[in-house]
Amino acid sequence: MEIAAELDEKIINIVSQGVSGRFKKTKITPETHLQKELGLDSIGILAMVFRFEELFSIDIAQLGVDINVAKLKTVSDVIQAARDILNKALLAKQA
Amino acid sequence: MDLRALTSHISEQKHQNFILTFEKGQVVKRSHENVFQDVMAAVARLRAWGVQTGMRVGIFSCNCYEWIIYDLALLELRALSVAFTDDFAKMGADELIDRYSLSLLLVQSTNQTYKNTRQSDAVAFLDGKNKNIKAIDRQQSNSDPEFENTGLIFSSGSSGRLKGLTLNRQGIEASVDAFTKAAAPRADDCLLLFLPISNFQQRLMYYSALWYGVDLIVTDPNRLFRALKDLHPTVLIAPPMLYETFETRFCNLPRWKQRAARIMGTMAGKVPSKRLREKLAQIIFEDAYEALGGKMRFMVTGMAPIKRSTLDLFELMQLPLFETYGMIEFGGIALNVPGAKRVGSVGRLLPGVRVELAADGEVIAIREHRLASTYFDCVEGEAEETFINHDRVATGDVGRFDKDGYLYLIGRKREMIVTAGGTKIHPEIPESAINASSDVARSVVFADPDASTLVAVVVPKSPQDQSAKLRIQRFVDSIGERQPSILVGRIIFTDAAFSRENGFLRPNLKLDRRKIAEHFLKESRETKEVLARGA
Repeated sequence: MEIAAELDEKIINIVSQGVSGRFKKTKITPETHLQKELGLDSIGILAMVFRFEELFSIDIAQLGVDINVAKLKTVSDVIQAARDILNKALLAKQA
Repeated sequence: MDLRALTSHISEQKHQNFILTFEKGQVVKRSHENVFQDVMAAVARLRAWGVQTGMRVGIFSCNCYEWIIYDLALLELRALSVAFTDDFAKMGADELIDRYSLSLLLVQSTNQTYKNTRQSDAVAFLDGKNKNIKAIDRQQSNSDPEFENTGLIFSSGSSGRLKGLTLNRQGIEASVDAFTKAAAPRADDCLLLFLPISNFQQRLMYYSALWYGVDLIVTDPNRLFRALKDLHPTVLIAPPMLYETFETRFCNLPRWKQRAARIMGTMAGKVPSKRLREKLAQIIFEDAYEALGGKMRFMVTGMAPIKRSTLDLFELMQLPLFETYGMIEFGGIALNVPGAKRVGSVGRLLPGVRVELAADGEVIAIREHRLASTYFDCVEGEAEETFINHDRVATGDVGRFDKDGYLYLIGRKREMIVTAGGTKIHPEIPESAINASSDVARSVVFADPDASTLVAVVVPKSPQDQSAKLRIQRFVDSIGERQPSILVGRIIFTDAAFSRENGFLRPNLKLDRRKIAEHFLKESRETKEVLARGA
């Protein structure tokens, strides 16, 4: 449980790094909409995905995961995608 | 360049260049010699499938090495490529083949559904095994011996609807040559392409890289940041939003760090030695340099207006970002380059390009051969309005030149505001004056239908800060006092983002002022009515 909460916090932190000035005061919750409420455009979301790869030292493409940026609408979508990717990475490491 | 001889030219180059792609998570590096062999193998395959000179072959695929190979193979065969963008994703293979009179459709092997169609013999995989492929012979006589029209492309226009364009070979060659001459590539340059190849600008760039001998990285947007960091490109062409991402990261640093970096960056900028100046900037702005791969020497942006603050930040970081201007109908028009750059302008005209400013200031671009010879699939009268002569294109942009020949874009012709008092104003003029306030993130100005003044929709940098709104109000009032012709009578504050999703940006990322005006005027009227009812 604690690990999941810690991961969520890390993801929210990654998201917040890409939020520009006038959206900074928005409280980021899992329901927060990336584009409407945080002003993140498609390239901003790609930058966020790359920060995630760097933080966890993984290469999403090498895991065979296809990230569809258009489907990442809310912070919750990002958290879910991050969990799936990290699970895959763990399985790949164990294999 | 001669597009018809591109493939043979690749094989004759003395300098060894490469194309780098990501495939299954790995970087794959192919020499131009490999490229030549792969193109010739693709030519043989296309011939075996029955593709002949003058036939139309559709390509519907994400960015991949094979896209380039088949594009070159079609040029070699003098067959016409029809490049489908993502907008066609919902259209079936049969519909594409019938509607555009294709003889063959090339798709990625991941797109298996296209193989289960009525005309599946005419659908081949770009990157997979193919059996029993047979191009449809439409018995068309070849009426283009000089291969003047090389293919068809699609582009989203200001109206938001897709337009089809017929490509002109000599226009392509002129555009590639002009850009390359101005950009002066080096043998050790490496160009990164990440936008869809179906967008013709990207193809122009790889024709240039292949003809003039430059390394090329081709990726999809998902791998953009990894490609930047790991493959160290030296040339990048990207929309403003990419560069604005760097500004956001910088502005999210703690205030003391930002201030320190700005002070040190300004001091470094005053060092006389260019080499030392750049070295110092690399140390001060290490993160940005690292994220861009550390070797970037020429970054270009266009497609939409870029924020002045972003340009200023890149200037401070000694990172070479240049604005350009062009039109898919015409090709490149102007470009800032090292040694001839003026922030806020789109640069000087490219070689071979002339511009006349019409009476209303509209930029009329002139070149012997345009990139596109005409439109198809467009609104009635649109072709006549744009292609005003065999060598000129009416851009719809209003511009001006400074005394040194730098071109400045000041608005769109159709967006001219005519106030109730009859004054004609380009909205960009008051917008630019308002945006100069340090409290304003963005503003959009339009005519007030109920008054002779203007309405400004203003997005403050800190929407919760009431004192900032007062400062903005005073700032805007002071502009009106100095320049009564751009007097803003009403400010509507908002924290809404302007995006394609909410319709405030057009598909080409330009502001849809009409929609913004309609939305905020309606909102403002409703608020007034509620207040009146409550009174």
